[in-house]
Amino acid sequence: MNSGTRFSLDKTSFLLVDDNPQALDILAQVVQGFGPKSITRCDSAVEAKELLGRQPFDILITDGQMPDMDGYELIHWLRHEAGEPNRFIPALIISGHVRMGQLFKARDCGASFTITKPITPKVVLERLFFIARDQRMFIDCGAYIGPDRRFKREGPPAGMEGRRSDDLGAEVGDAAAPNMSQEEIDAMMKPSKVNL
Amino acid sequence: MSLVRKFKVPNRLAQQMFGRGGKMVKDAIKASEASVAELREQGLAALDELLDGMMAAYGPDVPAPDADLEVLYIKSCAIIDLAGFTPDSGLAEASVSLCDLVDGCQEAGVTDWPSVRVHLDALMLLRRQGEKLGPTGREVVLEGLRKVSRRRTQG
Repeated sequence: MNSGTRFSLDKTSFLLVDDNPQALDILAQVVQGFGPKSITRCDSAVEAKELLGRQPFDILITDGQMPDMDGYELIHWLRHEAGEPNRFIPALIISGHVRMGQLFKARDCGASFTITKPITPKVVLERLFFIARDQRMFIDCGAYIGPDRRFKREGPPAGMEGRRSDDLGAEVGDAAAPNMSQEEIDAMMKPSKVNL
Repeated sequence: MSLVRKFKVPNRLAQQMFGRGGKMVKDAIKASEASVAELREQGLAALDELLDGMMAAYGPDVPAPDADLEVLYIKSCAIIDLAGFTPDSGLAEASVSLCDLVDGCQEAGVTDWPSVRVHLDALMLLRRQGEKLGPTGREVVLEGLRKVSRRRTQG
């Protein structure tokens, strides 16, 4: 994110969810500074769920830990049961601490990214840029619906077989053809006129 | 084996964010920081109120705290929320350590008030002196807290 890059959020509607009113105020003030079209604030995931069912939003930012229904459950519901047009909107989790018992829930809920509290304007904006430039495919395998979590594409761990048809092995195979000569490589790099 | 479906979702945010015009990143961050600064005074007051309340409920003057660990966990999370108003105090990191400790206690079904009190004392110290301690001094305090939490979470 370059400090001179221009962007606009004046067509973007945010839904912000946090049960702690002070944390919600901070989040709303952070987003307000970016100049969004609208900010809708909710103090519970239950209320947010109801809103998501009847009103379109462009992005959801929710706290992870909340009573009754938490942020992870809200995003899980969004990905599995919410209707269009909100079902696949970017969903950010903001969390200060994740309980040991909730690690898998956090991993599997289908969130686009996680932000660690305490939040700062720079980090929140960086995450929005990540999302805007996100090229990941969505995955639906029944248990998990959300952005592909294996986006690094480094192949399976050494000694293990991959499960994807396009997984690359850890070992490099034998060359399929003789190495190119330096002249051939140079010729490929050499600028040349093109007649269009 | 379950059937896996891969599909592309149109990136609406990208279309909205990178059209013509708009504001520069540095100006947006400055505006956002100014917007958050409006909450600083009341945020710090709320932080002090939280710390005082925790000290009164679980501090050394309370021989056998009769309080729910869940409440302590929630209050500790609330400190992390507000710790952005004192970014160089170490309060956020100390609160994360307290959350780890309380979560570990809840998982194990035990209470460990001496370890909680060490954290509360450290939180008070960091609130008052955290910025003056400097990075090295803060790290000494925080590493001590992490050791206490790890002892609980790792048995």
